[in-house]
Amino acid sequence: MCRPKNILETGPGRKGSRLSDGEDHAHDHCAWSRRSFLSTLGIAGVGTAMVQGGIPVRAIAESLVSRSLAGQPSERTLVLIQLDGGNDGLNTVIPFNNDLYYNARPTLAIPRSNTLEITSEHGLHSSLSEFRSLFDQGKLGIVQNVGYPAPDLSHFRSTDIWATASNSNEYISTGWMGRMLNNENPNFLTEPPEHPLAVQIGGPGLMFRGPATAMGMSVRDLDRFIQFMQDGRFYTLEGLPETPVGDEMWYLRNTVNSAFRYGSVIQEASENGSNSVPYPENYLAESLSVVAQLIKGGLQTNIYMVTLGGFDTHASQGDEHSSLLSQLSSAVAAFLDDIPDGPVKDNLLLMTFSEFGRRIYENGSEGTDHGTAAPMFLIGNALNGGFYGSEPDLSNQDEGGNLIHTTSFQSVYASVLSGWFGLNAAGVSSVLGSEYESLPLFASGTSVEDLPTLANVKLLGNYPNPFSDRTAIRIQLARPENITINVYDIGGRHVAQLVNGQVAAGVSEFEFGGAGLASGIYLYKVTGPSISESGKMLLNR
Amino acid sequence: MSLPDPDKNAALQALQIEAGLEAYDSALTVREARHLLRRTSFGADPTVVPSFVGRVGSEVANEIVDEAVGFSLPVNPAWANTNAPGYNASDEEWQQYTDNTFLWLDEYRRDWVTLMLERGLIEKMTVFWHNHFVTNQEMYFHAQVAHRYISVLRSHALGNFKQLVYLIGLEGAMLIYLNGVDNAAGSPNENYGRELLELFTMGILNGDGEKNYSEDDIQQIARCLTGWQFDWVGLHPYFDNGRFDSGSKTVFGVEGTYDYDQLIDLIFEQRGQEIAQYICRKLYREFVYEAPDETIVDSLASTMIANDFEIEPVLRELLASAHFFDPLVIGAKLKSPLEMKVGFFKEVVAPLEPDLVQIIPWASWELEQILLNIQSVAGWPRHRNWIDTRTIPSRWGVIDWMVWVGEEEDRYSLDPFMNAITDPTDSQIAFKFATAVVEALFAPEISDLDIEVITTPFSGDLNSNPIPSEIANGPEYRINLAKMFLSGIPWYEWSPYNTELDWVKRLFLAQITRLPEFQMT
Repeated sequence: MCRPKNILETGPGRKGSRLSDGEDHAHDHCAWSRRSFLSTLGIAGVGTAMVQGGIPVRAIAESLVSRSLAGQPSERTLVLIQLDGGNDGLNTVIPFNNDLYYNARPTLAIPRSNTLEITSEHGLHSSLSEFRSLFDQGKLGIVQNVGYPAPDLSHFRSTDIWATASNSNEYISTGWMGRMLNNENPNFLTEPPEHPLAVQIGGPGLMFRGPATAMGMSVRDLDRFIQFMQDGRFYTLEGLPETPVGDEMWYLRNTVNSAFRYGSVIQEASENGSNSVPYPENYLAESLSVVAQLIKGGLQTNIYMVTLGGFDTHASQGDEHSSLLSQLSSAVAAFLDDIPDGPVKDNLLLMTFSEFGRRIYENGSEGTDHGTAAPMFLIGNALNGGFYGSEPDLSNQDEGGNLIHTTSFQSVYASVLSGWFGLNAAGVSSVLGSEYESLPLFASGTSVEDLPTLANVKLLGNYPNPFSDRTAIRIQLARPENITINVYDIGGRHVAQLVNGQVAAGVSEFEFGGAGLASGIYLYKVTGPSISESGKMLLNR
Repeated sequence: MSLPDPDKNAALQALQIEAGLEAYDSALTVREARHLLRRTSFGADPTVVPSFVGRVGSEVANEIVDEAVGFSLPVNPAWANTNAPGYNASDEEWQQYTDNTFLWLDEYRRDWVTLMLERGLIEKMTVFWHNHFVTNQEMYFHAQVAHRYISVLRSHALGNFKQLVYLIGLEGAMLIYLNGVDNAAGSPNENYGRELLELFTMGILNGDGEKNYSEDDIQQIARCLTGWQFDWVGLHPYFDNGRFDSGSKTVFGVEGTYDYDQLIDLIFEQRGQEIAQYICRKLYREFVYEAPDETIVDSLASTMIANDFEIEPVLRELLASAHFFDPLVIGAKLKSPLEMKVGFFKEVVAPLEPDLVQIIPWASWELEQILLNIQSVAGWPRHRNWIDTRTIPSRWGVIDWMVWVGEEEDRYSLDPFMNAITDPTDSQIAFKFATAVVEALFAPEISDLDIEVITTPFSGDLNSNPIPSEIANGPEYRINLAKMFLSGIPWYEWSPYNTELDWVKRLFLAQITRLPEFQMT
């Protein structure tokens, strides 16, 4: 069962058949067979049920993302578009009635006649013609004046703040998307899902980093990536030397096998999907064409991220900024044309963000320096198009001559997490660290109550997971029972017994503290007359 | 500052090795010679390996240390003493200066990598100290400041650790990065004081699990460190007595009016044993294995103390030891991205052309190990923490780039590599080349690798051109590697120096480096 599977030998038929190939899956489970004790806990064969059982009920419960994990097609997809370098918001959505704007920018301000008027107050930059028609169709939302308090004007630091959703005086090593995905997939490390949870076209970043590991994968160049996969294969985990070198070989092979498994679903999706419209020739359009190809090819990934760089327009900004916005607008339009009308498109949301806007005043070199608040664009069929947040107030500047934000970017994130992905309030604050006001971005707000509840779940998993100090294992019983819960380390050593006696009907919670234990994976087994289930948890100090 | 990822190395146990620090007096095998080179100089340069084989291990290791001790400082960059634009400089001047700075930094990283490719242990140790006394150029910006800081690390890389601690705390890079410049009498900033103890000298706990210092010690030490400022135009630190806290402080229970010099003396007097153990443990991790052998660490620490914190005797003892050459050690470390890239160019004997070398620092952004820009004050990840599903394809992509770089006509030649690892005149080279490549590039035993089994026979007319019986009856991996290498070309049509067939070698390099074990060293 665990002999190496040689992909190359299986010939041309291999494409598309690999995912359903039970042997591959068996092979992956063999990853654990070395730790034979695991099978005695009944974990190796639990498969998908484990993932479900491990979903912490409080934070995640019945979000739309976890429904897709249960085997249903992906409900909601988010494509994040990063405008790298700091997009000049005031020259993107132009307040053409505001004299302060024209006074502050003698050479850069855009006259009303050169804008695409969308309201009596606002004109879009003339390069955003496709965005205007989306606005006219009610599919474009503009959140005005988004930022955060005590803004940091460093590209790196502010990019990290947006990626981690931290406050400006707070350093966090996980991304907001990484935390959401980790909450949704508490057993990600031990039972990785078959499809990548998030795909980033371009460089790796903090956004998808979860508490334990990167929750997304980055693809720089699809052709090159696929080339790897064509040459790649699974490596056997059996017969390795019983030495430290053998242990490292096991670790490396197991990691490569996982990478290859994601590679193969990406390859399959890219072969099944194709672009049906021409895309403009720019990096963002290329990236979005890859995303369209993967979505159309059936990749069950809910989150994508693409990047357009070059927004750091310190000098001679005019033409440069114009060209960047034109790339953005035309690439998004091509992408939307490429996805056929229907449920997939209706379940698609695009959101732009940038680490900061730019200074109100132009500088001495016909450019703008680093600033603070700026607008964000959201695009999708489900969106309530129009303006959100309050207008930037150019008369109320901070000491650096910058705008003072009025909508926090975390509240836009919260709106997407709740309104788009269906997280409840506890789920949102578990991702973002506190509660934020949600904007009514979506036509029919997705109510968590509308979703079917997971029936008859007895082991409700542990929360939080990973945990640094304490975690709680929750079980649900139909009637009082004698229950034992034991905790083991990855080597099979008994670490703790949390209960051994009668437990009441309903939901009960048993706390487990990590004091004095090494970081790593721990296993727990719940046994009683009507329950015998196991779970994994990660202690992360 | 930032939260560490869960440590995937935490479960590792020390190697069960009987051999201690006694000198390794056996003649080196090829495998041992490569091991010594890989661990001390990023990669096993195949043009050097033969000169080590058959010689006594401890002697060769001592020569490597001798060479590192006798290093010469590279020539200063032309911009090393350039001032920053003054406070009244125009936007244009600043723009020009900023543009220059990024060019200088690029050039500086490239030249440093060139040194790594040229030299061995001295640059390995300079990188080690860079990753120990961490700073980040994003915080201090100026290339001149980076150069001064790296020069101090290199000058004392095998010198005296106490002296290095003393000097590095007065470098602009460090004063800015850990807020020494914000630390003044009446408004102390504890950032450097804390890391000086926690990360740079002794760690939080001693070998018995007891705390090495209290929070109060940190506050008092911060006061001793006050007074240092940085000239942002001349780009040098200076002492401002008006900012120095001259009052009495109590550190480790001892009272005095300590200034910077006296504080460093005090720390080494009071915590010498803890410091020696902490540093020797880190050196063991760097050169031997991720989980330290505490007995060995204790012995090394004794050596360090007996030699008044000189680094050289410690390194000498460790690298020349039977412990270092033990079979359990060989291949048991996982490469950092830098080790992978520099090691690869070294092992394929790539020429030191600037445009080629440049790839290594450029690729460092993708692989998240950027010279001068270390993202966490605790240093880069180590060992398994480098490797996940995202970084593995990135590593493949970078090696791919390093293999295929350039247009066909201006690609670097692989002939020096081939000449070093095989005899191109051997009539069986078509069968042996691939195996020689794997032996040269991989630390584990070739027989332990999972080499693809190719069942289709060799291509071509095998009746007229039979497979030599030595090959046919030889190890199976050699046959499989040869088939993989030949890519369907009949073995008798492959010719080692045929430039039209250069792609065959490159394709094989690109493919074979995707074996998971390529990441081991």
